[in-house]
Amino acid sequence: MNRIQILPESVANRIAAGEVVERPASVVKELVENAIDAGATEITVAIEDAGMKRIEVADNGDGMSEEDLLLSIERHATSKLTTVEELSTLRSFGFRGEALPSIASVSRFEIRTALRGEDRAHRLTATGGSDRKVEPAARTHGTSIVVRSLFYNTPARRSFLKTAQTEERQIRRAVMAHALAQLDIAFRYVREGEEIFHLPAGDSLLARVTQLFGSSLAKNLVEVSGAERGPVVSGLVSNIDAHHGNRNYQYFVVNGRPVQQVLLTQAGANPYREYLPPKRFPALFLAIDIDPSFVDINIHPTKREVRFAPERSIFGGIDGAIRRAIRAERSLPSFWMKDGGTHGAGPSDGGGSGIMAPGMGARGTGAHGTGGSQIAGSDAIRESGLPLEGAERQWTYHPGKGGPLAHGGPSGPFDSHTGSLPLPAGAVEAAANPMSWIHRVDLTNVQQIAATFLVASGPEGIVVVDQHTAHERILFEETVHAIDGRAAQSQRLLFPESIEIDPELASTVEEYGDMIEKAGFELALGGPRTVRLEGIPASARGEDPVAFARRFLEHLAAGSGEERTGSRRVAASIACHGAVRAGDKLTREESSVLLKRLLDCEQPLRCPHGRPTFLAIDSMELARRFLRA
Amino acid sequence: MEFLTDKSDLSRTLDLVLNVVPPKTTLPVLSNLLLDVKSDSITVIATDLDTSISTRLPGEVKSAGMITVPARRLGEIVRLLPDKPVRLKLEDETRIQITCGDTQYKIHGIVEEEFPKIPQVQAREELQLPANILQRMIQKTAFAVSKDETRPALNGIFWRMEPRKMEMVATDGYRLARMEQIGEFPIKGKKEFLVSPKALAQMTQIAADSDQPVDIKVDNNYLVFSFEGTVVYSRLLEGPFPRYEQVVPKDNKKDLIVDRTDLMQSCRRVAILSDSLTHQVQVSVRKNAVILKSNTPDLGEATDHIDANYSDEEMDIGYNATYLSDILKYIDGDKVKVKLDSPIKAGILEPVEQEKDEHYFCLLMPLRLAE
Repeated sequence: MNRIQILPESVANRIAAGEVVERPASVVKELVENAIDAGATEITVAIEDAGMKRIEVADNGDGMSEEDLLLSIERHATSKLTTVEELSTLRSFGFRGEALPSIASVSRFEIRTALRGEDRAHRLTATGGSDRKVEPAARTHGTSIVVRSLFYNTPARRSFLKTAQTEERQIRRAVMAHALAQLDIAFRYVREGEEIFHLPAGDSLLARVTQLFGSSLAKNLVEVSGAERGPVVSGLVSNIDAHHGNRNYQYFVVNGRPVQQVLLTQAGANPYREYLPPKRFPALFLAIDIDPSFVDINIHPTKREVRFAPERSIFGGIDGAIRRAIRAERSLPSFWMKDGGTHGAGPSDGGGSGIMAPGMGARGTGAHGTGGSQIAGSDAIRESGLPLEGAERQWTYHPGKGGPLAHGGPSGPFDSHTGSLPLPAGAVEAAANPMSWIHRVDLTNVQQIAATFLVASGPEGIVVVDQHTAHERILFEETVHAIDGRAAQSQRLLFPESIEIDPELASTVEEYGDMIEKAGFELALGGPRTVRLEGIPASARGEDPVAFARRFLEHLAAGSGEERTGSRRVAASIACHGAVRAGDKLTREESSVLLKRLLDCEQPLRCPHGRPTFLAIDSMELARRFLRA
Repeated sequence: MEFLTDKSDLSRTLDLVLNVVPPKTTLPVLSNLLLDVKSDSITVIATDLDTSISTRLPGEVKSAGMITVPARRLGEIVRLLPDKPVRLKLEDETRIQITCGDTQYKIHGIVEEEFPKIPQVQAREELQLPANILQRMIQKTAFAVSKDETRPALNGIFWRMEPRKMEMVATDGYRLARMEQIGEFPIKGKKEFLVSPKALAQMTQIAADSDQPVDIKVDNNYLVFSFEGTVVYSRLLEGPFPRYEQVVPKDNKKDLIVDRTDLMQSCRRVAILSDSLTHQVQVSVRKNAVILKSNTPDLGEATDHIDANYSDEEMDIGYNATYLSDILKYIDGDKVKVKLDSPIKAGILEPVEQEKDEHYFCLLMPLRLAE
């Protein structure tokens, strides 16, 4: 007797189900993709008990004929692909023909469908993939698929599921991922009979993000667009003031397909490394369009992960596009008075359940603790009807104006931004363009406070600078430029020193030798365990050169968990240990040079580790503080 | 405690001691001056714990006693008093009455027990030096002392005494100034100390330009200067001072001779467009000429030519303009000699003509020029 046998189809389907249908969210994903492939312009997803009891995905797409309906739950039956060659140019979601049979094999399954232009509808029911029945039914064109009692016949799978909240969040994420990818399709999401969101077709990305995540997050986004070469990257990303405790606000779409991929997350986070504090993440809503032949989508049964042929160009394309966007956007940190929490930044509700239903008004989603702006703050106070005195006052560091979007956004949440303070026109103008007035502060009269902060004022406001982070930023940019171009000036030491180092530091010196030298260190290996220090970067200051060099090398070797490219890594290490410290007394001239150089930086707002370098308090802000509203 | 003195005497004394009073301190009594009045003397004392000064105030003692008074407050008061005799009188435990003509103040002091004791110095070495020589040596070197508190060994002036010569050296690790005085000094063997420039500046002030001798006493922890009734106590700094002799180049054979004022002015002119953090200027040494240049992207560039005597190999060297013009300020005479070797080695700057019994030079480390 032959030992090897062809598996019965029902077994094969259940095995496939193990790969394709991991959890309720994968069912939703497969069904939504089918709906999109069917040309739907409106998709409704309704779930009960986190999808375990019931999942329904209804669309107004092409629908199926009676014959197709019967075939639809046969394995490898697909309408999307006929030859292998087509795989590489495919733009549709499904193609493996695995989804429906797999889902049907692990649930009580029902399809109701009608072809466009036909008045007959059909209904197919199946239980665990068998007992198939097709009968006439009533429906306008499109398809509704109802999945009940998911995994009823695979208790093991069922036991692997997480809590209902987690599974529901996964479903919601799956629907949102498609909603953010397909702006021309209306999406409705209903949970336990309650509509959670309803996104009309033809929304802008910003409108969708605002609906899904709230206006406080949306206010702090800047637009990414265009490509220098290679992939076309577009979408919305956080400005450098807004960051989050997790990656819940990162969505990537590659050629219209929602994708999760480490490469994309890393590329998206890379431009923020020098601005965001550790363990904080930007919001990223990015669409990447690339020649389909460069993407392999068939590496994972659920197609959640893709592989890119030229990884470098994808990484570079994303990194570059975001860098251009956040550099162009010059938001300004400032203070504002936080109200009682009714609006704007409220306490975090943790798990992203801050999604608003339409009609609920602009309730800030608490998860974005740093959302809002000073303008939003005052609006919030006004709208809430609370007199300033009545509000719970708190001096908080908060990001300033929203990005360009806040001024040019389509409607709704972005329409009021100037407040109504009785100030001279110039002041309002200045506030609208914050970086401009900063350059008018009096640099000849910079005061040092507590040997740590520098203060300068001008006709439009006051600037407070942290001398250490400011110098760090200056050194960082200078060193990056020096390594990429003309070498930094190096001050040679009168007393060259030999420094004992361990083999790890020695290999760091070898690895980064050229960059270290261009950055201004004259550092030569003098043996396996010593380096000879003959010069230090001339822009650095303070600290004993030996201590400086040693700390620099240790920082460089450890990398402090920073995944930076070589020159940025060297530059950050120099900046960190070569900058003036808090407590160092500066002369008036030094203070003024530091402030001037900071303002000349490309990105003066943050030190390379993401701490703020300065705060600006403009006349509007002062007026608000003194209740001159 | 009660005494009478002249406003001008009091004013001069305060000028002298106020420099030692620390600008801010965690120990409030250090903001005060100690008035130590004995039947035949009035002594005013200030200290910041590292440097102390004690000086005699001429006057007429009515009754002895001691009290400390707020130093800067007293200074302000005295400055505006009419030019008449001043009476200071302790009214009760801490209240001091100051009377001058029709003006009267009452201020609160702190009891003298809280004031730190002046160190008792058991002299290990005692000698006398003319004040003007001491002053000159200090002045020529103090500018190069490092202000970086993380490098304590460079925060003082290194002072070495030998029977036939005396030298002072200061450096911040990038430049160095050394002054040597030849003479006969009553010293047994070789003595070396590291002294705070603050104490030495005090000393220069009290002995200003006098050719009278200053008494110097040294023990293991203190250096004490006495001059005409004023005593400065300075805690010695801990070294070790770097072995600077090893870094003084011996092979700098390429001599550039240039007008000191020309070079200094040229350096300042060009420095305007130098990098504001590094102050780098490029010094191009050519046959019988020096060209100074600065070039800073975003800022612009500057060039200046000056005549010079030079016939050796031409080279371009980068220097910190601030360091260079500082050094030129302290070199005497019209002409300066710059002894060079290569653009990465220290340059030696010295007067073309040294003063009698004196040898003075400065070292300056270059900045590496971008290729």
